[in-house]
Amino acid sequence: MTLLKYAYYPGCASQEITKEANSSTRLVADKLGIQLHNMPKANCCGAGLLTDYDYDLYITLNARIFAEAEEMGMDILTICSTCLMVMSRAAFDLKNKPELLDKTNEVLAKAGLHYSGNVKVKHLLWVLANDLGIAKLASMVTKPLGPLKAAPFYGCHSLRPSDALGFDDPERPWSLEAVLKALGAEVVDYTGKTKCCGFQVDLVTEDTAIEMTGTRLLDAKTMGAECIVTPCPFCHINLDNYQSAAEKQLGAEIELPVFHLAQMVGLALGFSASDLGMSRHLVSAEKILRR
Amino acid sequence: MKIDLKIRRFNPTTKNGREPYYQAYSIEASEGMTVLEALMSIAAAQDPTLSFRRSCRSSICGSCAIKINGFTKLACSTQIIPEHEKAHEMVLEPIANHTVLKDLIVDFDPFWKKLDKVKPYLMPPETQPEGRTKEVHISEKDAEAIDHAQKCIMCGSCNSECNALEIEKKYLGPAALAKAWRFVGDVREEGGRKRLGRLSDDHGIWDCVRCVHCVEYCPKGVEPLTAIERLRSRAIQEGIKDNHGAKHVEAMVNSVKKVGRLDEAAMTFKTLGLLRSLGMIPFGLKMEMHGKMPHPHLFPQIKKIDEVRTIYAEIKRKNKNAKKKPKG
Amino acid sequence: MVKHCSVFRDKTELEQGVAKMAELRQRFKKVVLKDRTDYYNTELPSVLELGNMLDIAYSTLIGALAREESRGAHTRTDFPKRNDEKWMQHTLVTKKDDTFSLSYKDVSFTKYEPTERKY
Ligand code: SF4
Ligand code: SF4
Ligand code: FES
Repeated sequence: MTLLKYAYYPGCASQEITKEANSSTRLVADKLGIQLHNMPKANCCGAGLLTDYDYDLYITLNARIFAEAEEMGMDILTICSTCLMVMSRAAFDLKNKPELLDKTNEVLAKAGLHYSGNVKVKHLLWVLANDLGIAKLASMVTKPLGPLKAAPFYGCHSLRPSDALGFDDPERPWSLEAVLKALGAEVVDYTGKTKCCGFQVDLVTEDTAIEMTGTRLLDAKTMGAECIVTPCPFCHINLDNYQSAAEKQLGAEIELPVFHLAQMVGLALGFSASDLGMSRHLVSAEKILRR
Repeated sequence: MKIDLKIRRFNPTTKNGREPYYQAYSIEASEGMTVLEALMSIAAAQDPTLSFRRSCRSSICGSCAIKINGFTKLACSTQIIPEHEKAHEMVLEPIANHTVLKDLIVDFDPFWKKLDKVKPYLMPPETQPEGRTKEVHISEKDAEAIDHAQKCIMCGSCNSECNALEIEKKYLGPAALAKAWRFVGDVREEGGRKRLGRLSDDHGIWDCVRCVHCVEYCPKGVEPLTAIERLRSRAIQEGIKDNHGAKHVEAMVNSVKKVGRLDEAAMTFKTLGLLRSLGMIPFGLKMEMHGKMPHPHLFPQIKKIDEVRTIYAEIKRKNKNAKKKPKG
Repeated sequence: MVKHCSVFRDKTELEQGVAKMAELRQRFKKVVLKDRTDYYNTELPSVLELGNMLDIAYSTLIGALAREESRGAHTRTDFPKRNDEKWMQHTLVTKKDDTFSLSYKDVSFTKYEPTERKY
């Protein structure tokens, strides 16, 4: 098998806020034999906000990230869906518009950098589902998660825009389900799993954000979910931190622990809840973990 | 090949139709048959009371958008056999975020009203500049900037899928904003600044939650989100920053310039202003207890931050130069 | 119409088409609506459209049958030549009390004179 090694781009959120996602990913990757190499120079992708500010600035700053990965000779692995979407859109534009690549390189040259246009951006989820492979993953599970009923929550950015991302199907996604099944969990299907968690407007129109979060959680709960698993730290922030606010706003009890993808994998690989930083969540997972 | 369909029926004027229900039909599908052709054959041969909109049958009139297996598509540009193979079912429903009038027909009035709100026409200067006698030519490059937004056929697919509209009915929505960009981005337009002011108000450009659904489901490649991003950039350039959205963006831009990455605490503060930030304290405290509140001072700077700053300076210089050049 | 009145047409095909279309127009007189509701009744406009389409189709057929020449997309395999002398005219079809009559109107020339296509 080819060596799995990636330029690791955890994203700002997982470095500063959802630190448990970052540390769990490192534990899990190590166990699975996936090499993660640090990118000490990498700047923030902009989370979409740089795109709002100035398209050229956004493209060039993302090209700077790609240039570092290119120097390392690896594809990028991120654990943040928003980073994935933002970087993939930039990579897609740079690949398909040669004039844009030239223009961007002119600016990069001022900083002594160059990007040739061939870096691929991947999510941990894709690496598990594809590069490592479902069968291999399943074979390494030591503590199957059954009979845990887990609801996958993709959110928006791990699936759309599908042309720039080029992985999975936004209408009938399979990767997260396949990974969860490999871990021995029972997958719960529900309507909101590919919709928005509301994070992008948390600080702009907070009520909207809370209502979105609550709707997704209730959807999953109604279908019998005992917990939610998401590949995106921003979705995690909303689903976890805003859960009590959502309970109030919607007048319903929810109490659904939310896990990062890497934490779920970690549990099935035999790591403990404290190894995986579960105490950092606002909604306690203790009840379902004790079983 | 036989395909079973389930179609959502509703007719408020009849006793049986007052509550929406799903009706089963079955058709003989031939290769290349579209969902619209299936609907037309049902209406012609099985059930003439089934109502849906259609006209051109070639994805240009924008009448036939419906939900096909849960996602909004043009019935006339979706082939039934591959779609059925993928979804293993064929459930047809009216588009979302609109009031259903009958069966697959929805009320488009709010859609048109929102379009009206963005004043979907060019507003050239009231008096022509001295010496201008001929029509104004628009260069290929200038046309390219708004080209995607011109392709809209007003089918409503984007509004149907829009996650922000689902929660906030007053939001202008992707279709109207794409149209707004078509004019704001036009070099012949003079009312741009005024428009941007209005668009930055409540339920305008800053309501979008960046869910990317509009990009995914537009059958014409309009990319309304891209249009919204451009409108936001223009609004900020024009100095229209007295709103949470723009402040949020500026905080991010400064934060990346300063440390190379996001500093969430600074963003919360700058976006919401002091008052809101105080209001957020309970939430902040809760995060703090779980070690989640990032500390702005502890933010490690990325390596080679000077490269980032060089890029900022260079882009700024380029933008300035571009502005100096005369229009058109 | 695809069989009897597509781009390449001749007398026999057209005559058969006229006969068939006349019959269809007779059948249309007995058309009924199955949907009797008055709220978004989409069957009604489609029936009205069908009636109009039959009229237009019939007009096209009789016009094409009368025009014994070839011109643009009207290619009579039995009259392959363009005949400006006789046919530089617009065909007008008038429907009155369910009968159709043909008349003709001269073409007025402005800046560009119509010429034969040579490709
Ligand atoms: S990206 Fe914005 S405008 Fe487009 S569908 Fe999502 S919320 Fe609506
Ligand atoms: S932007 Fe696209 S999806 Fe939206 S109305 Fe126009 S054509 Fe339809
Ligand atoms: S019928 Fe016109 S777009 Fe589908």
